[in-house]
Amino acid sequence: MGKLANYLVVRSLLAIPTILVLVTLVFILMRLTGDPIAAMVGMKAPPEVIAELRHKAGLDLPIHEQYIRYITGVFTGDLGKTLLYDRPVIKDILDHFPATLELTIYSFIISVLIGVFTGTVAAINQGKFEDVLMRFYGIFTYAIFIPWFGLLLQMVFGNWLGIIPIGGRLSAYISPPPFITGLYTIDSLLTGRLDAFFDALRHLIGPSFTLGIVLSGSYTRIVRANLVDILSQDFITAARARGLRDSLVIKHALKNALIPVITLMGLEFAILLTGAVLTETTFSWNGLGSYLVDMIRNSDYIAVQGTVVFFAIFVSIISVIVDALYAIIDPRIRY
Amino acid sequence: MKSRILGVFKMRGGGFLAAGLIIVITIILLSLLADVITPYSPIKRVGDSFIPPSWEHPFGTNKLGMDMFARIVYGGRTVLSVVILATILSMSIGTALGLISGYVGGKLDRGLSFIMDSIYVFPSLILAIAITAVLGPNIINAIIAIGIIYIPTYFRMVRGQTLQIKASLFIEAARSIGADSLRIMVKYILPNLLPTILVVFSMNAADAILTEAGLAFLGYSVPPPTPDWGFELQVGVNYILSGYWWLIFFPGLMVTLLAMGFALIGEGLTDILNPREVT
Repeated sequence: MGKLANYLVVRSLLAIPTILVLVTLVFILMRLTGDPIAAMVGMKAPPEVIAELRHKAGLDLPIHEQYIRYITGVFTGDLGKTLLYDRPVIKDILDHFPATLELTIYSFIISVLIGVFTGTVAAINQGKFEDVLMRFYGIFTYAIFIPWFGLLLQMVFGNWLGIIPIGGRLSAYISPPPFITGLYTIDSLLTGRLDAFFDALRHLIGPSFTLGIVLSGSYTRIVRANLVDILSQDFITAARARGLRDSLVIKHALKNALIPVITLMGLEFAILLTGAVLTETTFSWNGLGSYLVDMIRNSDYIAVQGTVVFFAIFVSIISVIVDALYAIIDPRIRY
Repeated sequence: MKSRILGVFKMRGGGFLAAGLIIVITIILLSLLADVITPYSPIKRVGDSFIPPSWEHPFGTNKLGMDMFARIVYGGRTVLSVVILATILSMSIGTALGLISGYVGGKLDRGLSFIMDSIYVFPSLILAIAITAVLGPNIINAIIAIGIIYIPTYFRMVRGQTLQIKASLFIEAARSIGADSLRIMVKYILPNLLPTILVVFSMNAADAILTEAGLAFLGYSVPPPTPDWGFELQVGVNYILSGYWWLIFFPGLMVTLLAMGFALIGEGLTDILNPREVT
């Protein structure tokens, strides 16, 4: 137990330098152009206005003081105030984050389910037509352009067949459930709002299948590769020799083949978030990705900086969680 | 010699390679020969608005009466030039840094690897958006943004391989006859890296295409009216309810096809270059 706890502590501490590097990169990046305020208000603004805004954003301080203020802010949860509406950036982020979280959770579940299914089909039919087909599926989904796929789903299932809504998180005539987690499907269940639950679920179909299918290809590949490898090992041959039914043998093998899938989850997470930005924009999903795109359009660089920093921290935390999961499941990975 | 070249396509993975090459070469030819293939200008009105696909306008026309087929074949030039220049940028910087980092080792290697790993885990499109947002949305900055975000992809692969090759006997032999570090890196290690770089390049080109299209879709690539596939799709969003499917279907299909072409090449090359991995 001591060893596992040790590992988890060390791994969590290691995330801090990663976060520091990313956050510093964002800081440098945001100051590359020199004056983001002038870029935002335009050249015509009176100098007093620019000076006022610069002062409020702390841009009149020497660069090292700006950096120290910024880093302390990041580690105390203060990401500054938006230039446009003077709201704390962290509040905006926490308002939009649940929508992104809900979308990514559903997409993730869909991608793993499809990936495990297609990967298993490919592995047990190794070298046959099904195998080639699934391999092709893996390559095709890897190459799908998310907005294209999302818009096609909207057009076919939303507009022509009228089965799913075209965009948004909830129909206009349904009031959002009271805020508990911010995830509509969970909040509506917790408060017994079945109307909101089914409506939210209907709105999730389009975006989460878009993102889920696009991501499933990587799981197809890794499940196939692992399963093929494991099916050729001695303990499987032994199980077969003892007369175990095929379906049981595969269940046996699959359990072992799924361990590397956890590592993939960590790597895939960045791709999941990239995909979420495009999916949210395509489906007018009011999450953090849409927020980022909006704020860039407004040239609100404080909000952009804060959102990018938040993504950086989020990704680092997820990679710690994935490594922790891996350590718990596989006892060999411990220091 | 000729049969040896053709023999590649008969190996395992050769089918993927051939399919990928056919797709990519076709799209490259279409864009290069755009002037010959279509009589229409991509940025001028050539007929009524919203004509569905027909013999005259195989991909229909848009709101401004521009021929969509012309916009797509000319748009290929934009996409291909951004992607090719960006991948050359990340390939050269990533390879050089990876080679030096792996060869020199020590503190430099640890520091560089750490920075590269940090960038690598970060969502690429978000970084690319942030970079173009800061530098300003135009084609040069799109190239720079895409070029920067994929440096770690090459760095990691090249560094890993360099570490392996560095330990082999022929490098020791080269050193013992007095070859200096630069010579060893360029003359002895680099050529051995080429197969890996080739595979990484084709998979990376697929990613770069999707990222470019994503940037264009969000409005951070070329300014209109320059044709660009991702941008066409952004315009198409407005016509979901009107049912003008050709404004959405064709531009997105081209993005996916081109990315798939490169992914197929990458998949085929992986099979051919690492026959042991295949079970």
